[in-house]
Amino acid sequence: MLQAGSQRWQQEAKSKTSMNTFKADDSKNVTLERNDTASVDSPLHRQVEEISFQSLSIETKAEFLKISTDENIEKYLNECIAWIEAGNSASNTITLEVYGTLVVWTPARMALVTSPRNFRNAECAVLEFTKTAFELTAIEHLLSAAWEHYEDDLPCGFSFHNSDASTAAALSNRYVQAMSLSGKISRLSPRIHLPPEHPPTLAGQLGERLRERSRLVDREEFVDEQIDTIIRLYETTGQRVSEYTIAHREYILIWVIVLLLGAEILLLLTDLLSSTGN
Amino acid sequence: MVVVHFVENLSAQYNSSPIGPASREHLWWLPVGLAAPLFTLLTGVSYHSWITAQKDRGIDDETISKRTVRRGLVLIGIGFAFNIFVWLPEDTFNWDILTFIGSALITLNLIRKLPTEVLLTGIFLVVILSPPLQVLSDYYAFWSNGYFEYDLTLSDLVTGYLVTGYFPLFPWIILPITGFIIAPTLFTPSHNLPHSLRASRFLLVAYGSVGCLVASFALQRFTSLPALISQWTMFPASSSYLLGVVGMALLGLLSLNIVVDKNWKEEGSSMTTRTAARWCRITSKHSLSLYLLHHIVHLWPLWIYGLITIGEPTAHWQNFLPVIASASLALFFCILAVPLFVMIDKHQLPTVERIMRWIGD
Repeated sequence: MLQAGSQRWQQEAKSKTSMNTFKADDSKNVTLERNDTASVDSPLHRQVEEISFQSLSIETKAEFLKISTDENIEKYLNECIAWIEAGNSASNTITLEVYGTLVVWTPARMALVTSPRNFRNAECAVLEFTKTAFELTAIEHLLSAAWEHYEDDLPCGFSFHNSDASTAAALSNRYVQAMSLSGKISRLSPRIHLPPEHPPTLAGQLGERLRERSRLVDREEFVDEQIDTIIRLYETTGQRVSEYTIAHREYILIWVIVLLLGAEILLLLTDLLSSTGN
Repeated sequence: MVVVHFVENLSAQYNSSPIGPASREHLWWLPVGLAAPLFTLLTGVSYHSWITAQKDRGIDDETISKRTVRRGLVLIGIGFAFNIFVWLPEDTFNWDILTFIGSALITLNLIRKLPTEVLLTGIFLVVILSPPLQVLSDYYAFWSNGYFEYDLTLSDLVTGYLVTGYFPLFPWIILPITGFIIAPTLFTPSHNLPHSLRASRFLLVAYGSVGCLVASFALQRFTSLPALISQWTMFPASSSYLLGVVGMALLGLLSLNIVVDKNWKEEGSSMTTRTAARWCRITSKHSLSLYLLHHIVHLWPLWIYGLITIGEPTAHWQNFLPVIASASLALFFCILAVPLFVMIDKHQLPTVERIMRWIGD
């Protein structure tokens, strides 16, 4: 399963500075150079990759510092935190140390320090989590935009009397957007509620702890509830618009009948008046 | 309007020959004959604009209805007063354009909330019904001398109002209703519509007007059809005439809207456009006064002169001046009218429009 995830990431995550060796200039004034204290036979590899995700309609970019080393990860903690903080991310930093693997994560920058043996699986787990988190954030953004119309559209949930076709079209559009968000959250849900792997693996543990620390489950639950509320409004609005459309057609038909009857009465009246005049 | 009334009342003799000195059958005379259809169409357009302005000011629906009915009744009252004092008492119930516009306002108030489809059906029914109604009411019996004559009986008054008068509800009511339908298409604020949609709406009106003109032309070709349908006659307003004037009035409105309305506010607009817009604003603001005044200035002297010379006020009607003289007088009146209205505005003098607003609003 992890291997499949890894392949997916290889396709989806677009690397812009792939395999660029990390330099002082790239780190925005944070000095992070090849560790001079590392032993000669200890392979150390550093790399900063710019990765971009196409989450819903929003393209999100992040920088990923990858350090592959057999040395003690504690030595890299401060450096990684300094590099992450240099990214000016407003979000809280998530720091994890699991089975000799260090992960420091923010939406703008993330760092992974682990042994070369575990590197591939750990990288896939971090990227998998990042994509899920970004998608959820994108849904949250779209949801906040949907709330802007909610109060204005509330009266239409009770009755709809607007003959303006653009209003009905706008309501229909918002219903579609809400349903689309609901579909997206449904598809995202299995990735958030992944059951713990047995026997535990490094990748599984990383993913699980990152989801827990970033409160993805709670956020997904809140988003789901909010979408339900919005959908409920637009479902009733849709019913009102549909009722209005049917009533409007009947209204037209009734008036056409009235006009025809009026025409008949008028012809009779004119005939009567002309005969009276004669 | 001014030219047609000066020429018709001072010079034209429609009955003296099939093609008189200035006849409605002359093609070159057509533009001046378009005045009445254009005015009635504009009644619908301006009523829609007025309602929109009232709603924007937060006036409730009931007040709008009350104001409309009051304005309609005032216009009908002015129309009767005009008939009595200008056309003399025997023409009180000739159902001229003012009584028609007053009735049209009240009718528009009744139908303003109906869906467009119903209004279009109504227009269609009026067009279809008018020729049979004209036949049933024996239209030509009221028009034996080229003008409307009636007896003071209820049946003649009702028939005159509905079918046989100068501007009866059938079929003239289709013009204000058409204007009312077309107004939101042409005059939706541009910031509410994307440019492409606005262009497509203009195209729709253009196609509609050209369609009306083509249909009118086609009806005139079918000589086998009854004269009330195929012949181009204003009195009675035949079906081909109606379609033709609706088409011309819409085209006129559309082109003036594009050439004058859209351009005069722009900085790069030409002097001609700005002058035309200024002239249009002054005349449209005082159109009712203009209508009353131009009748008074040429008919009252004519009646007085007839009374003095022959003892009959209408003795010189349509037989007083050569066409060129009456047309020149009309143009002279137009030249004088604009500065007169500018002066009236400057000194805030009372006009018929102000009185109507004072009573109606």
